[in-house]
Parts: sequence; C-alpha cells; structure tokens
Amino acid sequence: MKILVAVLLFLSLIGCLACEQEVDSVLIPYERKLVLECYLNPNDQVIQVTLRSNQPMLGTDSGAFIRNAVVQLSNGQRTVTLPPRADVYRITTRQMPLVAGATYTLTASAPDFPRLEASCTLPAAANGFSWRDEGLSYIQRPLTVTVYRSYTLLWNGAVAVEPQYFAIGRQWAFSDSTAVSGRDTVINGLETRWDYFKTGEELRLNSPTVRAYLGRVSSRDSVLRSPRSTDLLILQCDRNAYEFLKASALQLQNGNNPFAEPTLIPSSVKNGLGVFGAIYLRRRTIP
Amino acid sequence: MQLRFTLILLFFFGIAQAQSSRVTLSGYVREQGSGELLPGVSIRVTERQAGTTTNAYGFYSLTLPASDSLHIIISSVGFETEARTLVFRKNTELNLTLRAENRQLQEVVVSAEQVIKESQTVQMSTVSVPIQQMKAVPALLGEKDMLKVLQLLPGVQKGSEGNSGLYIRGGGPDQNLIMLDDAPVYNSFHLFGFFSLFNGDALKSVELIKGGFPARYGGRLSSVIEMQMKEGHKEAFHGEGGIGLISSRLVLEGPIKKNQSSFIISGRRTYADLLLRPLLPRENQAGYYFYDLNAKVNYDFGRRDKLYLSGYFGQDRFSFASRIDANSQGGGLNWGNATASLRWNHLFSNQLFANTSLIYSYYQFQIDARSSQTFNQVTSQYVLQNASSIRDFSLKSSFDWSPSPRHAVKAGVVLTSHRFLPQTVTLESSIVSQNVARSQPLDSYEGGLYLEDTYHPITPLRINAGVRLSSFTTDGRTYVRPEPRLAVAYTFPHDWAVKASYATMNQYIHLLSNSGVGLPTDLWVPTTRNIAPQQSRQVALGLVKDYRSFSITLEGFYKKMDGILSYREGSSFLVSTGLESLTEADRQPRSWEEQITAGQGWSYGTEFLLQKKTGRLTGWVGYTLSWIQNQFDELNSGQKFWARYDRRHDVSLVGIYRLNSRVTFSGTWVYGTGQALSLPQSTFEIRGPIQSGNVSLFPAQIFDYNQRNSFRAAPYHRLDLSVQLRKQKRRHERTWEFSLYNTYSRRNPFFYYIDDSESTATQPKRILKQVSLFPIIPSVSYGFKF
Repeated sequence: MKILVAVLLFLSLIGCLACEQEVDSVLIPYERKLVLECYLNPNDQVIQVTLRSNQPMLGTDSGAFIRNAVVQLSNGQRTVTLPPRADVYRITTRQMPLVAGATYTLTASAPDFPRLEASCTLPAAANGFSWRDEGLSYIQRPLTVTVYRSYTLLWNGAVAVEPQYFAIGRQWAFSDSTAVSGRDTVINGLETRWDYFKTGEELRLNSPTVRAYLGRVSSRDSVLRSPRSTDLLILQCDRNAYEFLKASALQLQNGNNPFAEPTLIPSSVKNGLGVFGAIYLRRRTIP
Repeated sequence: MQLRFTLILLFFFGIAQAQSSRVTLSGYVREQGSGELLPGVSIRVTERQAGTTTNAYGFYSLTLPASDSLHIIISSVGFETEARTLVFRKNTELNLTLRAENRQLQEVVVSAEQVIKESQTVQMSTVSVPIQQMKAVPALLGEKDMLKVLQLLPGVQKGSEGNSGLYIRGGGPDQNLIMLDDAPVYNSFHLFGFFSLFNGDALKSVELIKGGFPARYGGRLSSVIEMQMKEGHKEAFHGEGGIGLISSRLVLEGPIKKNQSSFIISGRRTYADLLLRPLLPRENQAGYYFYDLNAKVNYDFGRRDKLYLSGYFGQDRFSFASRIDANSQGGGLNWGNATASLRWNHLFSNQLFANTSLIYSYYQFQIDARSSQTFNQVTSQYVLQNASSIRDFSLKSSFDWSPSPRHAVKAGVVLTSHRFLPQTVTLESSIVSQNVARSQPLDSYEGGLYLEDTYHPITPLRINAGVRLSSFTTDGRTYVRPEPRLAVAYTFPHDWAVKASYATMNQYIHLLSNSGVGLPTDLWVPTTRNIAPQQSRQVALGLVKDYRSFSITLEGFYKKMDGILSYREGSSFLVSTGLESLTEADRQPRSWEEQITAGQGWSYGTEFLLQKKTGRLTGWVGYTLSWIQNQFDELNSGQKFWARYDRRHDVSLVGIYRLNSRVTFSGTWVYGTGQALSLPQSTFEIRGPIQSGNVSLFPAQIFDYNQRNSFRAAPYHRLDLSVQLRKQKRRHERTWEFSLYNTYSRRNPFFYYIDDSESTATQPKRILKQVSLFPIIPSVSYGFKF
C-alpha cells in the first residue's frame, strides 16, 4: 500500500504544476430523502425505528433525526403507529407481535419528504449452530506474540429452501496497559464476516473460522493487552438487512482506498434510503 | 439431356478459356533509396477500373485478361505517383520503386489511399496514419505519440488527462489488439499511461480498424491497431535522433549486405531520474525512468523468400528507498514488454503469397517492498513481492491468393499458447511466518482459422465476406465459436458510396482494471471454466463522398457486447484486511476470480470525419456522438449504467499548415463530454443492528452513490500548437520544434475527491475538489537526420 501511495504522489509530481482546486462548476446531484433504519428482532422486547434525513455531500449540514414523522407498522391485518421517543419511534412487540413467515410493512411520512414504504418478511430462526474449538494460534513478531483461539462455525440444520443469510463476528473489550498513559483503556470492537448458505456443506466450504483474541505478550513490557471479554456472534438476517449491512461494512472497510471500487448501498426502501430488515442475534462468550 | 450436357461443357470451356487468357502482374513495391518495402501502396489499372494494394510486406498481385497495352498508376501518400505502360501478354513480375516526394510532409491525409478514394474501397471504419503525419501533430513535452494521434480520430476516445488509452466504439483499452510486427503488445503505455511505448522513428506504418473487421483479424472486440517496424536502409548507413525535455532517442539503420540484408536499431530513454537524483537527500531517494529498444534485421533470399527477425524490449522502473540509522526501507514498481517475431515470406507463385510467423510476447509487472529494522540488536527483515505476467508463443501462417480480377482471397491459421500468472504474492519475513500466497500459472491455448474473399461481382459493388473459427482451451474446457464477417460497398456516380458491415468478435483474454488511469497493476487474465469469453456483434452503416481535395465520411454503428468483466463493488487491488483479521479467509488477498463479475454492454452512435487532403492547409474535423451503457447483475442493483468512458460528444480539429519547405505550423483542439464517475451524492449515519448497552457496535457514516457513474466530470478541452523549423546542414538535417500543450491552460479534471479535512466532530465541512495535471506546458525539442 505504501508503494501505491508513493505512486499516486509521483503521479501528482509528474506535472509539477498539477493543481488542486475547489470546484463549483459541476454539481453533485442531491435529492433529499428519509433514511430509515429498523431491524425486527423477535428476541427483542421492542421494535425501534430511526428516521434521519440524508445530507448533501457538499456543505456543512449534519445529519438530523426526523422527529415529526408519522410512522406506521402493519402486518397486513392491523396497523400500529409508532410514537416518537427521543431519537427513535418505538413500540413493544406486544403491540405488534413478530412472527416468522409474516410480512410487515412500514410507512413513514414527514413534511418536505416523500412518503417512504418498506416491507420485510421475517425468516424462521435457523437452529443447529455450534462453534467448534480449533485450539490456539499465534502471530509472532520480533517483540510480541499475539495469541488467538480459533472457532469454526458448524450448522447441522436441514437443507434450507431459501438461503440463510448471516454474519459472524467477534466483539471484544480489552484493557490496554501502556507505559505512556499508565491507565487501562477499554475498547469495544466488532468485526463481521458476511455470507449465505443453504447447507452445512456450503457453510463449511466458506471456512467460517473465527479467531478470538486472547492476548498479546511483549518482550519489552510483559503483557501489553489482555481481554476483558470476547463474544462470538452469529447474526442471522433476512436478505434486505444482509445486503444493506454487508455493503455498509465493505464501504467502511475500504475507507478512502483509491484502488477500491465504489460500494453502492442497496436499499429496499421505496422513496427513501436505509434498511427495514430482520435479524436474530446469537452470542457466545468465550471463557 | 444432351443439349444440357453440351451447354454445361460449353460453360466450363468458356471459363477455362477465360482463365487461360488471364495473366498475372505481381511484384514488390519499395521506397527508392532505402529499399524499404511499402505496404498499402495503390496499384490501379486505368483501362479496367481494377486495382489492388500492396500487403503488409509490400507485395501485390493482380490477375487480369491479357492486353497489348496496360496503363498502371502506382501511388502512396508521401511518394511521387508513378505511371507505367506495359505489354501484358504473359505473367509479369514488376518490382517498383517509389520516390519520396520530400522528406518533409507535402500533403497530410488521414488515409493512405490517394488514388483509391474512400468511396472505392470496401473496407470501412479503417484509418491508416502516415508516420510523417504523426510527427507533425503537437505532443505533450514534444514526445511524439502514435496512440495519442489515434485519439484524435472519430470513434476513438481518450481516457483521463494525458492517458494514451484508447476507448474505441465503447470498448475498453483491453479490447484493442495492438500488434507490432505481428506480436501482440499487452501493455502499450509508459509512465502510467502518459506516453505510449511505440517509438515513431522505428515505425513504418500504423493502421487502425475499429469495425467491419476482415476475418483475418480476431481475438479482441473493439479494434485492431497494426504497426510495422521499418526494415532498415538497404543501401547506406543512416541515423535519426532527437533530444527532448524528458527523453532522447536514436535510430541507426543500414545495410548488412547491400540490397540484400539490412538492420535497424532504435533506443529511447527518459532521464528525469538522472537529473533529479542529485537534488534528492541521500537518505530518501526516488526515481523513475523508462526505456525502449527496437531492433530488426532482414535477409532477402531473392524473389521467393524473405526473412525478418524483429524485437522490442522496454521497461518502466519506479523505485524509492530510505535509510535512517540502521533502519531501511524501499521498494518499487517494474513493468515491461518484450516481443520477438521471426517472419518468413514465401512466394509459391505470382498469385499466391504466404507468410509464416513465430511470435513471442511477454509482459510482466512486479511490485516489491522491503524493510529492515533493528531494535535491541534484533534485526527483522521483510520482503513483499506481488507479480503478474502473461507470456505468449504463437505460430501464424497466412496466405494471399489473387486468382482473378474479381477475387482476392486470404486464408490462414493462428495458434497461440498463453501462460498467465495473474497474481502471485510472495512474502518473506522474519516477522511473520505465514501469509504467503502463490497463484499457479494458468496455461491456455488459443486458435484461429479464417477464410475471406474480397469479391467484385460488378464494378460498383465490392463485398468482403469471411468467417473465422476461433477456439480457446483452458482449465479443461474448450470454447469454439464461429465469427462471420461481412462488408459491402456500393459506389455511385460522382464518388458517392454507401457501405455496410457486420462482424462478430470473440475475446478470450481480459484485462482487470480498477484504476482507470492505466496503471500496470491491471491484471491480464484468461477465460476460465467459470468466466466465459467476451463477445461483440457490431453493425455499421456508412456514407462516403469524395471531393477533389477533401472527403466526408459519415458512419453509424451499433455494438452489443456480452461477457464483459468488471470488478465487483468494493473490490480492491492488493488489500487484505491484515494479519489480525477476523477469519483466515479475510487475511489472504482475494483471488482475482472472486473479485470480478460479468455483464453486457451497448454502444451506439455516429461518427463524422471531414478530411482535407491537399493544399498548404491540411487536416481533419472529427465528431462523434455516442452512448455507451453497461449492465451487470451484480453491479448497480442490476440496472443499466453509463460506462466510465461514455462520452456524448467528442470533437477533434487537426490542422497542419506548411508555410514553406522549412516551416510547418500545426495545431489540434479537442473537446469531450466529461467522464461518468462514481461520486457519493449524499451521506447518512446508521447505528447498526447490534448494541452493547447504549453503545452501537456498528456505527457508520454511509455514502450513497445513488447510481454507478452518475456523476459527470467537467468537459475536457485543450488546444495544442507547435511549429517545426527545418534546416538542411552540410551533413545532416536538423529540426527544432517548439510546442505549447494546453495553450489556454484549461484545468481539465484528472480526478475528483471530497475533502473533509476541515470538518470537526460536530460540524462537517465537505468540499468537492478537482485535481488537474497539466496546465500550459511549453516544450522544445531538437531532431536530426543524417
């Protein structure tokens, strides 16, 4: 990567008179839209909807929550209006029970925005997941050794008719004792890997092995980092949430890499942006 | 029954009689003095409105009814027209020489055909560019660039600023078959695309075909660019050279055995690295240079056999190195081509000419990084190499047969063995004992078998019909595809002609590129079991009108492309998420096959070309109106989108004014609609589905692109001017050239980005910025010939 950056710099140096200037003669088209974010999770007690406005790329506008919208959720038989609570619109699952196989439609109207509409069919929760302990692995550097324990995700459920969309991830918190600050720092992190499968064999071929961080040992100042907790996560999604979140994670990962293709964020929301999807979250805490 | 039998006998007897009364005129056409064989020379028989042109090896053959007196006219651009009268009662060998009109350009024409007018050829969508003309057109930093001259023609579009890439009728740069003495050249750029690697001093001819492809050409979808190197002066030793701001060049040529064997050798090297080296601190060095070497020898065994051996070798080298105390790091990019062709011409008879070529072509790109660090007396070493290459061996045989005035038949076979090494990453490290990825070489075999006939059933009607059978064997699978070709031209009185053509083309090798600026990191990959060949079907319809001093060509085309490749959204070159990634799969660089997706494309439009061929002021006006769209199931949510090189309008004006034999002015002006780019149109935040207490574990600032390539860059336009001052000295001729690139210093966009460096945690501030490369750039160069 360093070389590629050097190449880019060199390209700029070629025309040593090359210039950079602010542009106002070409316009970036902008259409004001509502951004919806809602994940139906049957294991949660609440259904929560976030509505924001998208912001033009240029200028100084910052994202704003939309608090004056009318947000309604329907399961085809009855419709419930979600009242605003702080930055979200929220109801409990008692008011709108979440049932696998049912299709839910969410609409939102707000002044100065086109009315948006999105639908989501709640998939059945996939069962039969397990993690197989693959033992310890190491990354050795001259001055440090980082220790991991690897786990492989297995699935022994029946062959699915529709693909099972999921992400696996690790979430951790660790203390970082550094000589500079002399204080512990707690860092929360999450990484995900996105995939889909219909059979356990397809899943196996995609090598869903996750490494749980156990610690790092330094010859300079003994233990540098030690984990407070590590959780292995399985996030099962419907296709809408899967495509939206996978693309978002990829866009985030590529950051400003000039050699990366742009990542477009798909959305199933009509007249708007964002996601209306379904998730099931399973968490296993590593001892 | 008996009557019918008699009539059939009479019919065949008649044909036999007619055949027996035909005789063949054949021979070679050379340049007077140098003995250089001349391709594309027009041989016209005035009495019979028949004619032909010399092939790539300067050979012609014309079979006609015997005659007591035959008047022929021999002509080619830049040469004095010759007229001969001869008794034509038996097969005649007539070797001809043409004298150059002047070493300087007398007339500038786009077509090499002077006597055969545009309205009198069957081939459409074809342009020959005389080398003299290329040298008269102004160029960036005075570096004459054949590919940039081709960019000035209608239907040929430019990439980004300064880029030599050719986007022809909706095709990408990989869809152009660029051949140097029959050898394919895979990377035709130096300096990240700013200069092409073809040294004009060593070239004899350049021809571009962008549609209506004859069956003898195949393997690419969008164009054929065929270049011939000079053979070398057969009578005397000569040289030519030049000194420019960034490079110098030298060509030497002469006889090995007078009139029988000759050589030419040429070299070019940039010297910016040598000039900058003393200015850089010793602990931080960086440099770049490129060089080219062309060489060719030939041996003439007599009328029947000729042998040519030619080669090209060129490299680009970029490097950097730094050293602080005991720690050092460095690296570089190296890439280059090597080609070699051994060609044997054999004349079986005065009607049947054959050429057999053995061809080698190799392109390699390598990137490496190394570091050495010492801490507490422990030294760690790290070397990373990433390389890709493609290597070809080919055998090619072609036959030209002229059995009658109404038929000119060509047939041939091409067999190529490809070896691809798309990407191999090698890591040698005392730091990390893992993460080494090597990809295996991929061997593939490509074949082509063709037959074509140019048929004149009646004088105003010309038909070129043919078929090519192409095949590709790879990865245990063989693809075989027929490719029908047809071109028809009908000439009306007063030099009007209507032309039409159809061509199916298949392409079995692909270039993966996500930089768009011609970086050598682009990968050549083969068709595989999972990746189908690219295919195009193109129809074109044209109208031609020749006037006394200029001609007008109007062509419409429609091209459908299938199986074109693109990187998937979010794919990137040379990036893995690192050693500490979540899973083993994330830690390895992803294979190229995982990162691409196939789709289809459409290209259609109109091209207009007005050429002024004679007089002091010559040149052309070209205009292209076109639309280029792509559709991939896995890109842009499956919807159609504009290709990056979609240009609605493209205009080129080229003018060359010869004041006298010593002073020539020239200028070009180009205009093009801005490129279609992907820039985010809006942004929003998401929390994500996973919360830990009140903290979101998936917060992200998301950029919404709306549609792929939905942003239009500012239009591109530029004016270049130059003046050439020639003077004949006692022992040599010298030329001073002064030129201005981008005369009115238009800030054309090279790329755009969103600058948010002034944003704060609570207040975003985003600004669209444009980076431009070249403002007005004056240059001067000195050339000499002896």
